Amino acid sequence: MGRGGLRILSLSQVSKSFMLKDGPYTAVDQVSLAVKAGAIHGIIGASGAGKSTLLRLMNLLERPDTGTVTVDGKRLTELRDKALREQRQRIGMIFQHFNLVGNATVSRNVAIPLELAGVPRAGRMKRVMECLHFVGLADKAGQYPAQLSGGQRQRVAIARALANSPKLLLCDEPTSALDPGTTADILGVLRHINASLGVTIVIVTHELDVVRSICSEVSVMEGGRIVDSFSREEGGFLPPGTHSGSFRERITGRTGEPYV
Amino acid sequence: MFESMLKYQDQMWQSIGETFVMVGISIGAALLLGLPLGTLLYFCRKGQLYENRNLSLVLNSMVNVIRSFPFLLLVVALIPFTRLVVGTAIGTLAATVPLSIVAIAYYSRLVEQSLLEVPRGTIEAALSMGASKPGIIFKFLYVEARSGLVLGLTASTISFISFSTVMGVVGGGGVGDFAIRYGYQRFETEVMVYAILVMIVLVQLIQFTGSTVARLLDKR
Ligand SMILES: Nc1ncnc2c1ncn2[C@@H]1O[C@H](COP(=O)(O)OP(=O)(O)OP(=O)(O)O)[C@@H](O)[C@H]1O
Ligand SMILES: [Mg+2]
Repeated sequence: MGRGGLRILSLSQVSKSFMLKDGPYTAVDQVSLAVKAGAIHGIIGASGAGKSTLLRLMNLLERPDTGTVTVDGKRLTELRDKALREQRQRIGMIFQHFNLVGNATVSRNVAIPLELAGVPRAGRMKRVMECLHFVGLADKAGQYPAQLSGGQRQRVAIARALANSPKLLLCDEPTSALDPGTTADILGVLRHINASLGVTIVIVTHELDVVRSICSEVSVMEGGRIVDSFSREEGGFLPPGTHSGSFRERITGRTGEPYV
Repeated sequence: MFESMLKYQDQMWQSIGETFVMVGISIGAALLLGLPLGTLLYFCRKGQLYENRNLSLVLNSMVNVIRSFPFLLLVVALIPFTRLVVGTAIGTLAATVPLSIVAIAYYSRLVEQSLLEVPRGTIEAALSMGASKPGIIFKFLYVEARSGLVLGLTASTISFISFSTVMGVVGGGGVGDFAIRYGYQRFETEVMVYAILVMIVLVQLIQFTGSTVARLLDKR
C-alpha cells in the first residue's frame, strides 16, 4: 500500500452490484485500494472475480453504489457529467479487443481523443505522430486497423490512450487476445511507458506471466473482494513458468501471512 | 414502339421529374429526421446508453404504426395534416408529405439496426476517452456504422420509389402514375412497358450506386 509514495489512485470502500433476474449480485464488495504513482499494479483472479468491474470503477465507467474513487487528487465520485468527462480524458484505457474505430485510419484513431479534448488542429497532428513514434508505428499512420496485426492494433490503442498524456493507464486483459511473442512486445511497450513517461499502470489479467514480468505490486481478487496483495519489493517474483499453490505462491514462490 | 414513346415524351419527362421531387424530398426527410429518430431509438433501447423504457415504447409504437398502415390509407388519413402543412392535399408537393412520413419511419428503423451492429467495445472506448454525446455519435457511432447507414438509405430510397408510384390518387404524378394513366388505362402497352423499364433502370442504378459507396466506405 501507500508507504509514503504519492497515491495516484485510491478506492475507498467501493461496492458495485448488478440487478440480475434472481436478485442483486455484488460484483465488487467493499474494496479499498491505493496505487502509488509510478507503480504497475496487477489485478489477478479467477473469471468472474470482479476484476474488470473493479477496473471500470476506476474511471467511473461503472458508477459505484457506495464508496469513493479518487484519481490524481480529484474525487471522481463527486463529479458531474462534464467535469467527469474532462477527468476521463486524462485517464488512458486499453482493452482486450483493442476497440479501435475500424473505419478510421491509425492516425485518426489517435487523433480522436485529442479532438474530444479540444486540442487545436495543428497541435493534434504533431501529437499523433509523437504517440505513433512512441509505439513504433509511425509508418502505419495512413492504414486502417484491419490491415494491421493484433499486436499492432494494440499498439495503436496504446498510442490512442497516451494521446492526452495521462498519468494513469487502465488495461483490461491487454494481451489476452495475443500470442506469446506479441504479448512480450506489448508488455515491453507498457514497461517503457511506465519507465520513460512515468505513467502509472493498472493491469487486469488472468495470466500469471504478465504479472511476473511487469507488475511491481499485485492484488488478488476473489468473489468481488481483494483477498491478498503483495509487491515485488518484498523479495521478487518468480520467473515465468508453471508453479502451484495460491496466486501468491505462484507469483512470488513464497507463502504469506494471511491477508487482513 | 418509338412512335408511341415520342407521342408522350413531354408527359414522360414531366413524370420522371415528379418522381424525382417526391423521392428526393423523402430522402431529405429520411436524413434530416429519420437519422436522428433512429439514433434516439437506438439510445433508448434496453441496455443502451440512455435506456428509457417509456420513450422507447412511444417511439417504437409510432414507427410501427406508420410502417404497418396500408400506404394508400395512410395517404388518405393524412390528408388533413397535409393540407395543414402545404395548404393543399392535391399535387406533387402534397404527395411528398405522406411519403416523407413513411420515409422517416422506414429509415429510422434501418438506422437503429445499423447502429446496433457497432460493437459495444467501441462505445466503451469512446466513454473511457470522455466523449460527450455528440462526440460518441459523430466520431464513433456514425463512423463505424456508415456503410450500413448508406445501404439502409439505398433500400429506403427504392421503397420510396415504389411508394411514390401510387401517388397518382392525390394527383402526385410520377412515373408510376404515368404508366397507369397513359399505358394501362389507354391500352398503350408499349408506353406502359417503357415506363416500367425506366423504373427498373432507376432502381438498378440506385442499388448499384448505394452498394458501391457502401463498399468503398467500409474499411473494417
Ligand atoms: N453489466 C453487468 N450486468 C450484470 N452483471 C455483470 C455486469 N458486469 C459484470 N457482471 C457480473 O459481475 C461479475 C464480475 O464480472 P467481471 O467482468 O468484473 O469479472 P472478471 O473478473 O473481469 O472476469 P473475467 O476474467 O471473465 O473477465 C460476473 O459474475 C459478471 O457476470
Ligand atoms: Mg474481465
